[in-house]
Amino acid sequence: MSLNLELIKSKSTIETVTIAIVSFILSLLSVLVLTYVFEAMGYPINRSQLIKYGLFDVLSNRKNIYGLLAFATPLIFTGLAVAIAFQAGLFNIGGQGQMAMGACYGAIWAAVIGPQILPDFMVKSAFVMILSTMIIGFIGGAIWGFIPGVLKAKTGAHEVITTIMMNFVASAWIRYLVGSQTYSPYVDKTSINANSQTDIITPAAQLHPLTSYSTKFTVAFFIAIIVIFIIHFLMSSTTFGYRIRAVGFNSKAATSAGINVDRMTILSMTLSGGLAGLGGVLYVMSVSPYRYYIGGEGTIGFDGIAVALIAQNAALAIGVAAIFFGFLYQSANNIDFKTDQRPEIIYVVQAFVILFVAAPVIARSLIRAFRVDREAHAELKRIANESIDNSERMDANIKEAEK
Amino acid sequence: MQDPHHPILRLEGISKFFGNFVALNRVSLEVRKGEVLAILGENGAGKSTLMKILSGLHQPDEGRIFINTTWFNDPKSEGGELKEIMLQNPRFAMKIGIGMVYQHFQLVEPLSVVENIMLGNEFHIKNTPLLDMKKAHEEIKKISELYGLKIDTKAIIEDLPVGLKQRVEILKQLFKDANLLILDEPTAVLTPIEVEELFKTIKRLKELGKAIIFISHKLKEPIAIADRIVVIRRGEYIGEVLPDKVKYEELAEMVVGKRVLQQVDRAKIGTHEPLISVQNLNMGDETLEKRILKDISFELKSGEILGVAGVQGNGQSELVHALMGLDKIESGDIHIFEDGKKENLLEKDTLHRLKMGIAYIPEDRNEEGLISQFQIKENIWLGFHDTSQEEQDHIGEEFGQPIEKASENEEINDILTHLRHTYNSLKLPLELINRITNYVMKQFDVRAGSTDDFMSSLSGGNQQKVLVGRELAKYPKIVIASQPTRGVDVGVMEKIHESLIDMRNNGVGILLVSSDLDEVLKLSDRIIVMYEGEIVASGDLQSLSVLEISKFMTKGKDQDQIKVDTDLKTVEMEGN
Repeated sequence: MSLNLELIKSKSTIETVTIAIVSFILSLLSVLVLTYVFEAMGYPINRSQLIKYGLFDVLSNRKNIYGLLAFATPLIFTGLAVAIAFQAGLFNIGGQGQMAMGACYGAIWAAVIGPQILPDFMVKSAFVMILSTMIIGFIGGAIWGFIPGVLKAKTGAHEVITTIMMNFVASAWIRYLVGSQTYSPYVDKTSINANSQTDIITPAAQLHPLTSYSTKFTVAFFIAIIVIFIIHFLMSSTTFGYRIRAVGFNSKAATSAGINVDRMTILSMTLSGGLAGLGGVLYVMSVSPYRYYIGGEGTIGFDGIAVALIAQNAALAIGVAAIFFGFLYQSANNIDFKTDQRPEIIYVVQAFVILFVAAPVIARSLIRAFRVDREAHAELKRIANESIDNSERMDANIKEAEK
Repeated sequence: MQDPHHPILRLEGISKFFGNFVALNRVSLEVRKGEVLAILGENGAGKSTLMKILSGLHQPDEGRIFINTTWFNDPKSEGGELKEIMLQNPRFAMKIGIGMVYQHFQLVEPLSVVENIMLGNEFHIKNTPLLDMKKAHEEIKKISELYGLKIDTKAIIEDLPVGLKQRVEILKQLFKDANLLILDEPTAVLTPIEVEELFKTIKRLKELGKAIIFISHKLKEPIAIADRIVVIRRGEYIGEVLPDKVKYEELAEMVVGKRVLQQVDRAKIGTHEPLISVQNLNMGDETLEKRILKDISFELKSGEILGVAGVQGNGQSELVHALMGLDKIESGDIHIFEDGKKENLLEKDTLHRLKMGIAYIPEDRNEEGLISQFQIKENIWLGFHDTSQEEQDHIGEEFGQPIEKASENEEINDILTHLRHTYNSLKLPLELINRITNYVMKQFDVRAGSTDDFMSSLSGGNQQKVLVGRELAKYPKIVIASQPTRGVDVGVMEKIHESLIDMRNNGVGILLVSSDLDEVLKLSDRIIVMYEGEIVASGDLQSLSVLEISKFMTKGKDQDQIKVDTDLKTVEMEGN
């Protein structure tokens, strides 16, 4: 609990932003130093190529910019999921499982069940299929958040333990659903590696690229932006968000003001899981070949924790933090494709940023050092002036005494 | 020869700023050998800041601190010079021998007394890393006997009443060889008897050569115990007085800056309708001895203040929690009366009880009452937040200004207006929140920059004003007030008392739980006394003398005068 409070303690926005920027610069410098170490150990390092393709090329090339926004999209959802739970005083590290469940359920619905049970005109309607798939994905994740929420509220089981365990349950459950051609009814029966993926989702539910520059940049990004604003409004301006924050900051005070803490715990975990699930299903709908395959979600769920951490759980900041992470992914991609360098170096940058943001003391002491320098300079000047004044006064006194 | 006025610590021109706020403005004072120096001031006067500077928690922005290191090394030594010193951090101040007993105790609740005291100075069995608990117990017993501070060293802190927790704090400082003890509002939550015990302790400490700084906002105690009294107000040094040469009124004027109203008018109420009736309330274990509450029965009527006197930790907090539905009870009934109808509250949650018109002032504002990371206005909205649109309109009318009902004139004929309605009903009613906040802040003179300030930036007294103001602004039928004036200054206390009396005069029933006996005596129409979870006496001030109440509070029923206890639960009110 103490960890949660430390993280959601409201600091001034300027300080948060400064710390994020300083942390980024610090991590770049740290990695720069590391490259020399690697070089000394015998790895071939080409720093100018790394900087060119890892930094400048990503920011100057349209293809790359769309690519990084596409990378950012699911991170926005998982970041929001973690942030909402955090605001309620809960540490949801089950984003990975919730997202996978949302993605898997959504894919099964849009690929198998939906087309089976819905009338034909509905299956052909993009509006119906996209909306229903999103809702199924949301529900899939929400159930996976609801269970730890209920366990926490009713039995006091710590959400960190239960959400971790739910991640394992999710991966096993998904394996059961789509892992075996013999048993699973939802598995892709046409392809060879069918043992680990669903059928391709029905074309009406697929989100197609909006530009020719990137294959993954779809309307999902704009949905994510809308969701950011909805969550921002929900948390800052509605009674629901007010209750969640009250419970997160001081559950005792919330209780004595008549807020049902158990209910808010369950609701916030459910919403948190639902958002992660929505992120998962939109990812499946956006990325060719439009199917869920085991492990396809990568570590987006876990990266959401880092995004929420950097954004200090503020909904609007999560957009920025997610785009920053998208930038790092795209940068790694770019280095992988266009140079002979290893892209993992970028993940080291990412790790350093998280490290510096999580331990703001380092960045803060640097900021302070600059500020103190300036203040100390002013102080010295003042003392110098004073002593000049004093010596003049003493001179005058002496002269007077002599008289 | 030992000079009795020889200073051991001197502050010269200490200033401290927090942003634009001047917490201390060139305060100078000195502490002398073997004396009790009282620092008296309102809440937010700068006492706490001054002490935090002395304990090394804050660094002064201006001014110098001098310390007689010879005396601090050995209080029995003579002479010694004052040397300028920087108290960089609490550890350093502690090493010098400045011991701080904070108002909010710094104890590890689940650990035992001995574990808390030895924390940081643990004994080890020779040449091993194992703790030598036996020696620790012995050493601490030795100290506790030397200073006459009796305590069960094996007791767990969270089981101890406040008075004993404070004793542990003092022992902790003595164990660390503190020679200058700073007591921050030490009597805030103590009963008269406990205060007397504390004073005995202070006297003994003084005899044994320790110097003591006694911080208080109450006037009587410094007069009783201090050798000198220094008054500060709004961060400035006002003056120094000798307790035997100053009058209560003069001192009050120095502290507050204006005359303090001593008596509050109390109207005679015609009829008293029952509001809440509690019958045979039991809480805790089934065995009678271990119960937290034993067979509590009483009735709260409209237009009266029912005072609950008792040493803190005798079941008052639990009683209040049971009434609010925050703690589970074993058996018994709580009924609330509304329009002549009787409703059992047992199965109802806190929200329902609040909606029945109960306002709740919790005893610990930081723990239960307020959310320090919230803004003032967000805190004000707490408890109002569950109101429907119509209720909000009603509240709005109560706080002046008719509500603009532009929306009612329009018909919901298109999606846009419909959406706007939904949006409005979802949104927090900021305008109304601001109006209530401004009302409360004006009514209770809350000193803060704006309604957007964070609660944590307010001083304790101002926080309490926000809490009390919020609850009373709900226009309740019943007020359950637990320590409503904890840690506030004389002026604010008067204001809160006045408001409570006002509510009573308007027919509100108030259950006042307070460990400040003066407060209970001053405000209550009837009094019940709690001891070890039991009501040991009840009645009005005609049937219970102050001395009797005091005795019941500390000894319970095991005494000669049990006569007062019989049948007083149904004693008729005799007005006032």
